[in-house]
Amino acid sequence: MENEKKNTDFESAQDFEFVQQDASIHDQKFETKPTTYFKDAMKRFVKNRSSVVAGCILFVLIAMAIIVPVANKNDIDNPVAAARYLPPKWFDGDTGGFMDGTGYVEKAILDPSTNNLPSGSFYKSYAVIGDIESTQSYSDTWDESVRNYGKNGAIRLGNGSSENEVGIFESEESGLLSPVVQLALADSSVSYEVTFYPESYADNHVEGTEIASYIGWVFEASEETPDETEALAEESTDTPSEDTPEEGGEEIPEDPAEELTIVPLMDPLSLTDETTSMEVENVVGILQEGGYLDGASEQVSGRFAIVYDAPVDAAASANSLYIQSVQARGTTSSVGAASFSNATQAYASLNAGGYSRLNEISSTGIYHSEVTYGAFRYDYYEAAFGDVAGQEFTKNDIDTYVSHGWIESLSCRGRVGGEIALFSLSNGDTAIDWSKAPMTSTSVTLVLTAEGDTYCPLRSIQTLRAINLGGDVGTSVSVYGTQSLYRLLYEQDKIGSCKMPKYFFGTDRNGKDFFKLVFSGLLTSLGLGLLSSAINIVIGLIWGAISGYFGGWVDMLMERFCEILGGMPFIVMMTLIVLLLGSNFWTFLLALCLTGWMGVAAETRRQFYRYKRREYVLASRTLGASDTRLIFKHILPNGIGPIITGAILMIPSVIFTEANISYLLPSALAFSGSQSFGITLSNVQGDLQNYPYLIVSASIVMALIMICFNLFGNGLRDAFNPALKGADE
Amino acid sequence: MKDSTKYVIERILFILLTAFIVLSVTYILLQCMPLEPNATNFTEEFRFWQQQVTLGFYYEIDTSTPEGLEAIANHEYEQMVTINSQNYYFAPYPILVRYWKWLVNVVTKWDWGRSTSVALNQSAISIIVMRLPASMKLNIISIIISVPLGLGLGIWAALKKNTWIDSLISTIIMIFISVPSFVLISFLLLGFGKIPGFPIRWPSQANAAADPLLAFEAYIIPVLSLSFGSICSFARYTRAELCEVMSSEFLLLARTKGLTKGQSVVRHALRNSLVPIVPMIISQFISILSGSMVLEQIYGIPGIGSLFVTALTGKDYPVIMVDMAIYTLIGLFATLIVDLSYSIVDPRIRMGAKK
Repeated sequence: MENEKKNTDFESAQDFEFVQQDASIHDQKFETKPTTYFKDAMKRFVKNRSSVVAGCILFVLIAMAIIVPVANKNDIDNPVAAARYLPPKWFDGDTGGFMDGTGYVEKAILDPSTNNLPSGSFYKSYAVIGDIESTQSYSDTWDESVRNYGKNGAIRLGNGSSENEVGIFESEESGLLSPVVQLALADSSVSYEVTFYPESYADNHVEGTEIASYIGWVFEASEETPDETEALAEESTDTPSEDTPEEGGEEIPEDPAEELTIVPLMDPLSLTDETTSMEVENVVGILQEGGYLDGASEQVSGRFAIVYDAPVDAAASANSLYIQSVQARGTTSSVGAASFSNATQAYASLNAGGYSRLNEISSTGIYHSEVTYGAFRYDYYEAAFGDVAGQEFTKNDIDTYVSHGWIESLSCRGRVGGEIALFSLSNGDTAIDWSKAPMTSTSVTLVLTAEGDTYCPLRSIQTLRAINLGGDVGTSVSVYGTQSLYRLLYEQDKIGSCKMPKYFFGTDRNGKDFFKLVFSGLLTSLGLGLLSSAINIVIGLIWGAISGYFGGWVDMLMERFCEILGGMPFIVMMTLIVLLLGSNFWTFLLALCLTGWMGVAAETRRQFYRYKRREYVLASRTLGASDTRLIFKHILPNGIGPIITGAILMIPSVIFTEANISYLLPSALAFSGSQSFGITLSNVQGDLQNYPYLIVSASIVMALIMICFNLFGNGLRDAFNPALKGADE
Repeated sequence: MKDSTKYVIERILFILLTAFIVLSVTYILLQCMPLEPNATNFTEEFRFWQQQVTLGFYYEIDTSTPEGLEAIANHEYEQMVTINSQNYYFAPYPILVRYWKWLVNVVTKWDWGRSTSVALNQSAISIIVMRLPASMKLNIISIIISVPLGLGLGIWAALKKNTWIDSLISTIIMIFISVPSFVLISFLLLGFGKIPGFPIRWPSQANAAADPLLAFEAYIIPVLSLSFGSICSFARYTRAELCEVMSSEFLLLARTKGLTKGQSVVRHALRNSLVPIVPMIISQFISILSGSMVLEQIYGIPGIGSLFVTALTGKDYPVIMVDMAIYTLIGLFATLIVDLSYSIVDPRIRMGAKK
């Protein structure tokens, strides 16, 4: 249409003269170059700006898919575990948290005594930017720092979560067992009191469900006397707590001695908003009344049990008891040991000397443990790759650095005497003379060479101590200094270049450079797309050519075959092939090619029907051209445009399919060896909420490549077949 | 009329034949894999193998006869189950025999076999039937939303052709068509995840029943993610069709005869452009019925798509078989309905007519 506007501004009458008037030009050569079908298409394509831009972006992306996996030397097979979940970093300077590798940490547990990060914390204090703001709060999750720095709170005791074979919840008791206590038979003052965490019931109770609990007593198994077993047998008939081992129990061979029998010391107490504690007094009296102590001598040993009396529908209710403290009183000292007031501490020693779980299925947790949280800005890259002071270096390490030529000189000042030179390149030394090292040296001067300044992981030495040198030289030297982690990692070939890494897309849960991962995956997917469309074109061209050229019953048979094969949904085909042949790159390719050629074949067939009755084909047939010549020299070149377009548009659809399928079934379709784009994406799906940058960056690449392919393909289609222009853009 | 009836019958027969061939091949191929019941105890497993015997796929080796003992000694069995310290041996019939039994079972008793891992010992068809409503409900809702929106956007873009509105709509369509559904779902989850209390997974039946708001909210992400794709393809198609019709001579004639632009668009252009759009709506409906696998899997919707994935990971071949049968039949009948709908929308089109 733009062409129509041109050539409309006439200037003079000369414009209307015939150029070749009276000239005989029939035997002259053309002065203009003849344009071919492809050149013509190219001309039209270049005019389509969006397609050209898309083509350029596509080219860049494909080039990156080829170059990045090779040029980026970051190790993604054995990544640095410390570098997991690094945020994306694009800029070196501080941009206030935008793409500079920093993030705001809100809930890091602090050491309450110093209000600083404890040494065992996940967060490194040297990577903290600015001040730490501390707040008092509660933690309901259990980890090492809560264990070390939390206090009080309550132990959460949930119902057991076991299910029987038919998937119905079986209410086996869950609960806590105290450490073994000795009860003196004469002691009537033994009492046991469980205090629940205030408001915990009201805060956590599930509407419409019931929750009950009671205190029980469990005799120590080793103390089993004939009397006691008798008593146990008697007791089993009337206790509500008795579990039902008859149910399906006959095939499970289990040691009966392991079955704990709980003697309830009180009736189950239904909890309400007002319940703050439950208590039993005169434990010995209750046991004697029940006849459990008949025949026992002075003392019995056993454990107190706090039992969660699970209702039948416990699985649905998911209620918990919140035990704040336990007060056990009695004359024997072991009874007192069953008390605890600091629930966090008691939880820490659960199953390790202190309280233990009643059944394996008992679910326990910590509730509202008091901790101090710190909030601060944190440089994740500094934490993983920065300089850390106080790292220990071995003598071998330093000798290696010397042999690399990284250390210019090393000298120190002993307690007595002046400066001692241990090593100096200018003196012609080749190794450190450890025998001169003083017993303790705090002022160490380390000078690195220019190369060492770039590569040496040892940046400075804080202390250097030599013990027992003398005769047996160098047996024990301890060196503490500042270590540059990224230089160390570079030395170990974990990262690609010897500078602070910048991961454009961050790192995933294993510490892999996600940028490299994405483009490696893209390479595999592109390869799959290219290969499968190449195969599909070949098969489709041949099939379509035969079907379209010969027509008649050949065509009919071939069409019916296609219809039947094409009737099978792709996912079905894919599944069958993977199930039968295992899952790898080649089976995936096979699945893609098994039905993928049909589109090309149909298009080719259409083109053949369109051209085979044309006069020029008839003309060359009358001149004696063979079928092969007609097909390949005359018909195919004319219809090749749409076929090529179809094939190019096939690449994104293959990537699309591959991504979808690998995303759905990563377990079934994990390629051995290389990682595809879909698998890369599906691996980070779980991190969507906490580390969205992973899925966002991969999705953007994916979307970009799809959009560009589509735009590019549409541009090509318009160029090859202007009649279709704008049909569906 | 007679011609078209004949054509429909022919097509249906051919579809049935295709379905039969596809399903037979699928069944035989699936039978090459051994059954692995995912039983937690021997009673369950024993029951499973007994059912296989009842269904006629396996037979129990008689340990009382010398032939049976010999077969056991030669390991000519596939499965041994020990119950009450007694061994039971089961061996499969040849594949073609099993295939025949399966055909008979399906035709006479509508019995498609027993699940091995999704729900052990349950009839595979009953599992599918249980899962179908969830998928259907979602798809119907999303098609109801996407048809008017898609058509509306397409018409708007076509009427404002070559203005910024048109290019904006076209760009958005381009983006949404190019982005894979799981990317879209991820972003939706990310966005809605910021709202406190918003379900980022399909709630359980009990939770949904307890909280109607939650049950409603749970539909938002799935419906959005299913609708975006179809809205875009409707809009794109409508725009293209309407643009073509708008530039045709008969519309010019309508305008010259004095119709307003609105009249000519509504009465003439739109009707004509609907010819290819109606079949498209039908095929879209069917394709999202089978295409929501990704969504169901990510969002945890108990539909047939997620069932397929679960069955595949658990190697539950009987369930896979039924699921595949559904997908195959949906695909085949979709093409039929689309073809037939052409002639209903535009009576000038005679499918299958000789040239």
